[in-house]
Amino acid sequence: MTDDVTTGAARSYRPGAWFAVFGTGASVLLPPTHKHRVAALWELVDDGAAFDEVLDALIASGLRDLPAFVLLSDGDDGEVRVVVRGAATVLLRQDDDETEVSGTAGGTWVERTVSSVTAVTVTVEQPEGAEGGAADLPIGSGLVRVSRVDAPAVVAPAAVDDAAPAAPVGAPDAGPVAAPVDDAALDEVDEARKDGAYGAAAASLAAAPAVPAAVGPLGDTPDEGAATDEAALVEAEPEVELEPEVEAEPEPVELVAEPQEEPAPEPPAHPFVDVPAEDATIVSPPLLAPQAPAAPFGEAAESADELEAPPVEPDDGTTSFSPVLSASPVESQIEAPPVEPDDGATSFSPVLPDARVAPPAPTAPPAPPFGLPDADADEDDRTMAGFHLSSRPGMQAEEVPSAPDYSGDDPLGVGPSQPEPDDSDTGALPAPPSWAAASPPPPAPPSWAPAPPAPAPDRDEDAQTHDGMTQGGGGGFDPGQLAPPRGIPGQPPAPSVTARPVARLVFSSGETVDVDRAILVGRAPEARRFTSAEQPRLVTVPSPQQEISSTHLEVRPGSGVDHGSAIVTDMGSTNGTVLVQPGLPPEDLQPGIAVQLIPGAIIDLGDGLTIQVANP
Amino acid sequence: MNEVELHHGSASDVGRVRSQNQDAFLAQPPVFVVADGMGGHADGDVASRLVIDEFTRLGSPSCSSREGAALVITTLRACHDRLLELAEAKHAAGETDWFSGTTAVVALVVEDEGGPKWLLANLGDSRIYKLSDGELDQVSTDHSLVQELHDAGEISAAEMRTHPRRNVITRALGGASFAQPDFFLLPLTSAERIVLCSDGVNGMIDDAEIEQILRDATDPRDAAERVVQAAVEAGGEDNATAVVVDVVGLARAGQVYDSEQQRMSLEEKLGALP
Repeated sequence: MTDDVTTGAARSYRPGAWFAVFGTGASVLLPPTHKHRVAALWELVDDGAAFDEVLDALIASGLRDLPAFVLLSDGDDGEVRVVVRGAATVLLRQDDDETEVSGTAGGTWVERTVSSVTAVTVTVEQPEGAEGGAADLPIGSGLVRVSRVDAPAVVAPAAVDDAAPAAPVGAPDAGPVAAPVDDAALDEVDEARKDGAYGAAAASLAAAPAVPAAVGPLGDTPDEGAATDEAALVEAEPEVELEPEVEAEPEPVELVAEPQEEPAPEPPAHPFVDVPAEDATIVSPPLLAPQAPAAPFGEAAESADELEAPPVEPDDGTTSFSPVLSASPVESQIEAPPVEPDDGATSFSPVLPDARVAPPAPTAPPAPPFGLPDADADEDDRTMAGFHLSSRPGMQAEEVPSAPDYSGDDPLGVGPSQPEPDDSDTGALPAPPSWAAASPPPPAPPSWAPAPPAPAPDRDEDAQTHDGMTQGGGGGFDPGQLAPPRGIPGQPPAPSVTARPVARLVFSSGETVDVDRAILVGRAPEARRFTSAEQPRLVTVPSPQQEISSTHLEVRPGSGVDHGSAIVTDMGSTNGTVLVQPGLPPEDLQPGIAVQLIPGAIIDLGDGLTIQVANP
Repeated sequence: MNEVELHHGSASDVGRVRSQNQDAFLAQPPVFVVADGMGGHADGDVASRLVIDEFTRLGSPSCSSREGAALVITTLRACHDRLLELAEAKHAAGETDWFSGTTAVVALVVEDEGGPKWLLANLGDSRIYKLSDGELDQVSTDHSLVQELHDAGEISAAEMRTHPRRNVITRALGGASFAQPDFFLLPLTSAERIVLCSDGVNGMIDDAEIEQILRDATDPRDAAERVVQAAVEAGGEDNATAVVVDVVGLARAGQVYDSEQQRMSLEEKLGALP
């Protein structure tokens, strides 16, 4: 087709059955079966939505009912980002090279970013009459039905087909997808067209040069720095559509495919973001008796008496509740006589405590007065981020920031924590942390992992450490970024609670649990570091032989490519977990590595206990 | 319903350096709290006492883990609101430097269909440990700058000890907006003993030492006292407070616990019985 000419249009298409939505920021192609989604996508794309936004919309209801699509961006300087799933092929031409991206090669999707692209050809169906009679029509933005797309446009003269199935909509002068192309490049495009790369043949990815796969967050990008309150969190949760699969076959599960880079989070202007208090989800229990009596305070008692041993008297009064608790409260206070601050004092003869028996708890001493003036200025060696605290003469407390964020809300509550840089950081840290997203956070330990060993106090240090010098915050942390160390490094956090369950777990022990939040399963499961908005469910299973670990595995709603399905993670169990997915050989779960669950899968924890995964 | 018995002991000490004890604690089964106040002059203990005051009002709640979490949030929020009011009043009165903040660790027994559980909450750098089969395990994660640097792989555990900014905590009560606590949920049976302490304890003695003391002291009252005493003897650079709670009466597999016997032995030990 050497008689093709460029028309100046950004691209051209050849009529077919697929839907193509062309916009200025991104273009998306959907198979004929997905007509119902096209209009909404067109609205989005026509409004200039960028690549990531369109991708979010595409996978908002999960990947399972979207067996195939092509998403194409035009970045700056001819850099093209493309995601292909299913039977579609994208050919990206550079000056002296070409990259073919075929969706059939990957289990989930294939993503590539290629720079200096001069021409793009997307083939979604075997074009009818490829060897002539094919009508390439120019199009800028709009919604049309296509079998193939070229950018820049290749249009055979006078080949306008009256029977074009759809009229282009919108401005035909959209920015070109790629750099202008010369005739030589056009010829190359033709060559490529004749190659007709499609289908399984294309699956063998041409030995293209290694293209850096800049995989961004798939799906719900964590809203950096924006703390969400509990109520909004629940309400803002997109509904997860779980339709029976139309034509998608169970995809082979891909463990984390490629190293993924998180996009650099926008550093907040100030590490603090004010969050409106939200009590909507708080159940106000009728337990707060107004003006209830105050309890014994653990106040330090002043005493210089030296005693050998504290005589304590047991209090046999029992406090009952359900479960019935009998308490034997005895509080003792050890009190050293006031000593002058003596930094680094090493010769201390311990003064044994004067013990006193606290009065039994709840009845009636009035609440103590707060803030009794104390003649001695007291020093505190700590400070809250964002505050200078000091009572030292000559030290001034810092102005309270106008809107400090102390929310600490962790709207999603999973994924590696990503503290953010703080513009106002003075760089006073001797080794300023490089919060650059370029260095992705280290793989987060699973949430069950014991906390890092507490550093032993360094007693050899000089008193500089506890000299009451307090420093301002400016640590540059947005507490909202503090996520419990869970999730898959490099993947966006999953929603902690989904509006609808993504799967149902049927335990051989008889229980049935819906997966609308994290489920922790074990002999005596523990949940660590969660927020009140995302409380996990603990499922205790019997293990007569003690083969099942106390916290054995976790099942939670997935995120990114797993959005809309459940994922299972072995929590480092002693005896491991075997997963049998339908049509696949059994696999041993790797601790800490999440695997997507297909309905019909069987999870074997040992000790005769299995969990069957069903549709909710 | 199993009969659950909680034996507990508490101790607090001003230490050797401070002139005032700004720590406060509450042991009112099933609610246990340690709060480590901070601030200047006489203001440091305002916030910590206020936390104890608010949690005291809970009495003996009986609730599920979900209700318990809501209860803790409600209570902490009440503390936050009161502190904010106080600060505003002080600032309006010309005390522009006034500040009182506090950490809080809370332990609450809750009851779910899966049996009784410890619902634990943390805000700040006070700590919750559990002792299980003689092994100490730090349950809570500090809300401190060094902890975050460590989590991000920026500094090692050893560097956490010496970092010049290790006195900066990233969440606490007393800021201008409410900070969410972290929650933890453990089956009551998985921890025969839990410990709530202020950083005056774990800042002075390391975990190995805490573990040894907790193993040796079978009585929670002795355990609390000895832990605090050890922290003081190690330098006592900060107020040190510990609340130790033992769960008894939930028979572990293969063991029968006789709480009556335990109480008898206590009375014997204390000289109440011959």
